[in-house]
Amino acid sequence: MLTLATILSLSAFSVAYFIFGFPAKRAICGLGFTFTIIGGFSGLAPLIFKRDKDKVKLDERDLIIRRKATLVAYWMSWTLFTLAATITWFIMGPDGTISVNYLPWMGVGGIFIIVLVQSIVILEEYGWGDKDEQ
Amino acid sequence: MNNDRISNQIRRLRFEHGEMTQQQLADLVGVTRQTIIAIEAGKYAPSLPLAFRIAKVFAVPVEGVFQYEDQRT
Repeated sequence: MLTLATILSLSAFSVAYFIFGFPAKRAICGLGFTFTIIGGFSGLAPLIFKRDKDKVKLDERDLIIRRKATLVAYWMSWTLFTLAATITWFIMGPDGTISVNYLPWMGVGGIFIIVLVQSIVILEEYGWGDKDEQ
Repeated sequence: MNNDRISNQIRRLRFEHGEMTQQQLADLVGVTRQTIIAIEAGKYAPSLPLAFRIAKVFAVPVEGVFQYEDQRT
């Protein structure tokens, strides 16, 4: 959920940059800079948040759910990418052109879809917070 | 679609073994409590090694814990 929140925030931040008329280059540089900082600090997480070694955090069911979520997200992102490419071709024709500014957004959009679909599948598989009973 | 259904006696066995909690069972077999909850509710069919570990905790054969019902017949 933290990852989803981060991706959503960064996407909203970048879209706002464009809406308020900031130069595209600045928005993309800002996004890259933010990702670099977050990526760098996330590497320190195991040192900051020490885990109880005896406690089981991840088991076979979690791994199955993760694998399923990744597969569904991968399948969904490729399906949407193929659909977008095909629809664009039909609308613009074989001689149509698009700006290279769309390329980084395709990457960001792909990551967004993967994270969103993964999160939904994981929530669905865990039962959207099923009732706990002892 | 998978029509197979696996029922289990984990809840009964837990209570027969000193009212063992789901967390205690989870710790003994090396999974999370959420997995024990899912298995008890019949929402998750455990792997064969996990099924054997659960049976070992209760000192019963695997078929004493899990019952297989083939819905296709």
